[in-house]
Amino acid sequence: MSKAPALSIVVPLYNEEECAENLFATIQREADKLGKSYEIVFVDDGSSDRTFHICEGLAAAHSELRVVKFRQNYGQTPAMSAGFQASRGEIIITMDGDLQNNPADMHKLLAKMDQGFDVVSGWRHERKDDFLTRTLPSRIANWLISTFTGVRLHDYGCSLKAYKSRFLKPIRFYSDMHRFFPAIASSLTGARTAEIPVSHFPRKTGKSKYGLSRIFLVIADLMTILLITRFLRKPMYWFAILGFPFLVLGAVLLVFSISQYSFSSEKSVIVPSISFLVLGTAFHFLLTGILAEYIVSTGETDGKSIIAVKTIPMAEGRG
Amino acid sequence: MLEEMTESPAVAVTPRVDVFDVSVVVYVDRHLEDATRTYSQVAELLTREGRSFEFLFVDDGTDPAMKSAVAALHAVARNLRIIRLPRFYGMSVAMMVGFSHARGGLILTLGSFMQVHPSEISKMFDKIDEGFDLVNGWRVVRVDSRLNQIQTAAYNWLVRRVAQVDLHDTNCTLKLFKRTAVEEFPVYGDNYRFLPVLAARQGFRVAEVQVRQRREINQHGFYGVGIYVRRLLDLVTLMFTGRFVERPLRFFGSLGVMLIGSGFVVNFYLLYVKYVYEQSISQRPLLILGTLLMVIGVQSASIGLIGELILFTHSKNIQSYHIEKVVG
Repeated sequence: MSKAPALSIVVPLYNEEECAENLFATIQREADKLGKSYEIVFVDDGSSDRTFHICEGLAAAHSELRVVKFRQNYGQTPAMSAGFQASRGEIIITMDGDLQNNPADMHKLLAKMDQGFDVVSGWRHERKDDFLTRTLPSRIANWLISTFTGVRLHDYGCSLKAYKSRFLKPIRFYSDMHRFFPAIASSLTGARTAEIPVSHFPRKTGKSKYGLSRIFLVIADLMTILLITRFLRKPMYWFAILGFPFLVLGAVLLVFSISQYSFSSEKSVIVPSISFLVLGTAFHFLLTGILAEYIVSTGETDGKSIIAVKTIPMAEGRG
Repeated sequence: MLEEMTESPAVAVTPRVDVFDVSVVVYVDRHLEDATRTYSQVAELLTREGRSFEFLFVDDGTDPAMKSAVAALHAVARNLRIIRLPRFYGMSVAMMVGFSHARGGLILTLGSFMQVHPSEISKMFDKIDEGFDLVNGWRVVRVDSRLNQIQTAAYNWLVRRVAQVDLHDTNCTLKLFKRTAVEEFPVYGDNYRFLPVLAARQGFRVAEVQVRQRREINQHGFYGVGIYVRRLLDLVTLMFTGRFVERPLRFFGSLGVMLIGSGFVVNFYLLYVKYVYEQSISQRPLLILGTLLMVIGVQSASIGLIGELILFTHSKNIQSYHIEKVVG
């Protein structure tokens, strides 16, 4: 294939020797119906079974399949990220490697995209999972992510998503970010996001990563996303906001202890000490903000360079 | 097309093609007792093994006498290049500069002096031929003093725990590895010493081979106190360059939450004392401790935020995965 396809379908696989062939056949069948040129990118995330062997065989027989093999298991985000970098289509569709998503839903995503959206996320509105252990924690997580990032989606965890690739390619993803791709793309590269209901099959094997016990990690990750999406453009301002409550508290304590020393017989050493400590923390945030400004100004990925700008060239013969 | 500029002259772009089978990188310092003997023994071994080779003597000018000895060797030896650094940089940096100039498919590193019988090196080649990517030497029959042996063993035990890699002698300077292993991840600072650990973390196949130490070498007696501090810091580095470092906020944030939490506990106890027992708490230093804990917790969390900011703004340089192969 020399010409770049219109559509890239990125699927991370980890120990999927049983369903890899079926997965490929299903995706191929559904993609053929879309009437677009396409490629399928399988990312073998360091499987220990025969997954790569099977995929290699498929790739030899089908020119539309590319397989990226990882040296070891790195996880969903690096797998997706490598898939993005390897894909050449203008539109990238991602889905799970265990056939939990239905490739037949791809046309719905594309139809929604045609209405003027850059990222379309699937929403498993009738989840086939256990309510208490999976559905409830994921509802809480989705609510938190939506509220904090301002990108309202019901189902951040759904892997079936479609992106215009120019909104993804400028961003490097690492760690556990795959849940937040739409939120990051929306705030950094400026993607317009939408969601549509998709069908969903229950997970056959394996365990979910985000159980109730991991809600704390979700919050830590959320803070990171908040930092990336909000702080990046004016770090000093945000750190000042974080330090402001300490400034107020410290000032109140200071005024209190000054008045105590002036008018009252009880003279505490501890209260003024604490006020200094709290004021010191406010100062610490100020310094941290300056440090953050340095970091952002020297870093390669700043808030401006990665906006997916579209320039409309000057019309010829005018001006 | 314009060629990409290299950032510093020290880090030259290595040509991807393998010109030789093996590049032997030797660090030249005052411990290199006999450059000529090192060269001839290893060269002889490699010739016997039937592998084409080049030697890279990296000299950072530690010892002027050594400089002339290596120069004399250069006049007679074949396939020997000398890389001269302008000033003393230490072994790690010198080795890395050597790697960046290496043109062999395999890289063999020799420490400042030949601690092992050259015949032991052929065992390492056997291991590489079995399909391993990096083979680390494991010095048995140590000729160190007892004290050094004990502390080295303790250090390596800790490294195994922290790095989760089954190696017994990570500091051994005798290493043989495929050049791709050092090309795929950044080796900076003192990282060279953790090469086997870093390689194993990236999914390379790492093995170790027991090598006998030469008896006749009389090593210096005691490493000094500084080595304990350095090794402790090494372990901290190892911990913090692991994979969880990709999420500093998870670490510093949880630490911060724990600190703030314990500060809360302390201060709640004081509130209890104040309102239930009706004792004055304004003179109690415990109040300072409680507040300080909370403040340190806040600072820890903000360091986590800074860490995340550094990571993201430099995310172009993050290698969060290594691709072994692309098909189709």
